[in-house]
Amino acid sequence: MTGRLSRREMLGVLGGIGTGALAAGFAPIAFPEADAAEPGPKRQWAMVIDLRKCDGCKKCTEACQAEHELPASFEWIKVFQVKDAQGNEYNMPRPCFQCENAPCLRVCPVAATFQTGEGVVLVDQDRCIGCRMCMAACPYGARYFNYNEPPGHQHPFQHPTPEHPVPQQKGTVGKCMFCVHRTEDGKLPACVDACGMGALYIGDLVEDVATNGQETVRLSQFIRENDAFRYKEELGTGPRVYYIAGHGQLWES
Amino acid sequence: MSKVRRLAAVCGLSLIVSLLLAGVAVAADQRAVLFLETRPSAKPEQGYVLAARLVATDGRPVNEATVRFYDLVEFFGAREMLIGSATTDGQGIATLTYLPAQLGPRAIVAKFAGRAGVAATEGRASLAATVAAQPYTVEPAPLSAFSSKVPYAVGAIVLAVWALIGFALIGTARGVMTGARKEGKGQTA
Amino acid sequence: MWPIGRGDRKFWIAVVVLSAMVAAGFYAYIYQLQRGLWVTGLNQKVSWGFYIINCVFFIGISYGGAMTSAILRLTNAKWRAPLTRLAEATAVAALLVGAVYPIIDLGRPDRALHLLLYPQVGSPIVWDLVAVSTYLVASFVFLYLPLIPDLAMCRDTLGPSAGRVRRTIYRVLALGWRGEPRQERSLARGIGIMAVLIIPLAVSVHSVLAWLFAVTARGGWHSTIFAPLFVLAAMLSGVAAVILVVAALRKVYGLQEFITAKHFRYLSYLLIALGVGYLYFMVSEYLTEAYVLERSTTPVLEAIFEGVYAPAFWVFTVGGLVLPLVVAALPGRFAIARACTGSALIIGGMWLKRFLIVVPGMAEPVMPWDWGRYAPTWVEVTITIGSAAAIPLLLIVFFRFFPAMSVHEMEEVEGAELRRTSMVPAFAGGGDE
Repeated sequence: MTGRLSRREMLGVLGGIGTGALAAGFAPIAFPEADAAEPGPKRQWAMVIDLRKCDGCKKCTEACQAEHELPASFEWIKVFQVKDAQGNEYNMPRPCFQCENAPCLRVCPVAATFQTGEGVVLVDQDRCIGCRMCMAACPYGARYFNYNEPPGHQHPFQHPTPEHPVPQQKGTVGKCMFCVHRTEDGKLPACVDACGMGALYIGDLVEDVATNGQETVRLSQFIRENDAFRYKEELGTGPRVYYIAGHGQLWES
Repeated sequence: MSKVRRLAAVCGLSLIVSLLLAGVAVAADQRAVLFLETRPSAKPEQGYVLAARLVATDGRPVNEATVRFYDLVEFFGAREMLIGSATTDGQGIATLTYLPAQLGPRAIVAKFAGRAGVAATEGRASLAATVAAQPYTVEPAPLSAFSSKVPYAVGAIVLAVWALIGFALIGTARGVMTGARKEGKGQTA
Repeated sequence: MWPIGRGDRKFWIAVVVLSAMVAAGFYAYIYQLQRGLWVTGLNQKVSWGFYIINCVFFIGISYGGAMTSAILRLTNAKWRAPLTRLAEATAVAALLVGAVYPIIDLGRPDRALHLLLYPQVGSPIVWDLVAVSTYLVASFVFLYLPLIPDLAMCRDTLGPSAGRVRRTIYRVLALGWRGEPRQERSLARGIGIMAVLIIPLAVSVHSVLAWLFAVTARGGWHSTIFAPLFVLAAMLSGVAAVILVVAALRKVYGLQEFITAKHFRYLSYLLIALGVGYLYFMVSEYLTEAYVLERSTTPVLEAIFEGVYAPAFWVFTVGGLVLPLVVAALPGRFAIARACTGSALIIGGMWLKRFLIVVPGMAEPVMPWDWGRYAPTWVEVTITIGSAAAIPLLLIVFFRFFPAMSVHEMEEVEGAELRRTSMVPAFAGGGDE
């Protein structure tokens, strides 16, 4: 009797230790925080979008979709036609804002979404389980779920990486990643390159520079002189995209 | 004889006219030279003063001229970053105060776009920045010192709950089994 | 409600019908697994739908166990005695079904293990995983411990006709129970611990489910009252489910002499108290939002009070909350019928309310674009029906082998002498092998 009891006991104790260890495994994993910028030249990507120049042509959206082989419903940079309180319309392109305090980062159960040292929020589609909690949490609707296989070419030898998520994986979430696969090669992001009005500027907060491919400006100065704002920043997200208010007046003749 | 004289007159006239025109043209294309120098500002925290002096080739200063200043950066290729513009004063000097974003050597270009009578020109200078603006830092999220401790507290509670459940199950099982009369109706573990 | 009686034939008919529905649900899921989530009505704007609604709904139903069994046990309400087993079993069955839904909703269920390998503690889904799994284990334990004396009774009273395997299982699980004082003390202590533990666990599970929505910045979701609201909603739907299950199985297993109209009246009181409390929370939430009319919350309020979702909302509020409470509160005869009607309406209403929380919250524009739209497809509806059928299926299979009432508890509480012959009818199909 005693032998059998202790076997049962041992099973129970082992089970308890096992589950305790499982629960303990949760404990040391901390919240992911954006890397604090170390002193020294580390990039922190940002964008400035000049709404005085956007004409709503959506070439940025098309270029992004072509670059990443996205289906038509995926608008990683989406151009909104906004009506303000007076009934005037203007165009507003919205890429992912790569928030410094990104809600999508916090809620991912498997840490499939992470922020690079340069401030870009990427998605590891090998880890994503497709729960879509990040889509519920994003206040800008910037994340898109691959309900189906993406259209496009076969890539027999290319496995998509978070930096170059082409092709997209079915059942996972994708979003604008400031074209890090292009910027690390010294090429402008696809949308910035494609914008014929020069409304999209890609910039670096550390080096304090931004360019739209034609003109290059000092980022902090450009923002201050034009009273640039960030969209819904009262939510505490810390977005990295600045808008210069306007209604396309610089292309209206 | 009158034909020759007429020809000479026409030639001379056209020569004078073309000389006049050339003179005008020469006068319209008057060259200017831009001397750019950099020096630390009187207040060190303001950075550097970029002084561009625009002088015509005849030595006269060019005033009321707009001079644009650029810093050469390597950002998706070599680019000229516009850092400001200023207008030349009576001495033909335009100044701009510039606090660079980063330390180290910088190349500054000042450009004059040209106007009626003065050709476009530019001048270059280098700047060894030992003073720079505050670097951009990413602030840690608010309350992060507190919120990073919460998982440990909750984890401890979860462990305690599992331990209690385990105790309730195993303790009761033990209590029931040891309290049973031994009658040969044994159990398999 | 449907007289299965002791005849095996009706039992098997019920099992076959329910199993067919569950199988249809499985087929629909395999269909979805092969093709991808595009077979559902979900889209880029409304990316959570039926599956999340059902997850919250079924886990909510499982609160009947915590309410009826644990709270009544701790408050020493004697009338609970015949109901606890039914309540606890319903809780486990509903929880099993509800806990499967997040997996059904995943875009990559093949990677579900990532939740265990790479959990991120800050995520509400990980909180959900921990809370639901803990609550599931606790519910099993809470079902098993009071079952031990009844298993001992099965071990002792069922003859060789019950089959060797079944008798061995009873003997093993009964842990040598003889009703001795020392064993009673151990058992009482174990059950007491679980009764106390399961209440905060239950509160934590639905709070965590509420925070899944409330920690986002969406207008219809970012409300501080969500956690208490969800917990109360779960208790309400749980008690309503217990009423229905108790009424049905009472008829089926012939337990009329043990479960009377009095039990239903008391359960109705519980229902009314919870329902009124839920109404209060709803008023508090909507009043604070509607008074200020912030831009983030106003579109949702407009949509549910006057807009596209208004029919669903008013059907829920009037037909699914106020009316059933009134029906249950009326004095007089037909207490059981009134309690069951009220409960059925409340359960339907609670599903509607979960729908009204999830879908308008997702459909509300977060950017200057149009409202989202959501219409479920046959896949989602079939899986819903299949999972709903799984609960009665699990229950009637469970009660084929285990007593539907806690004999030990009834003896202990009501002092009834219930051994042997009077308890055999408690088994569906017991004694007929």
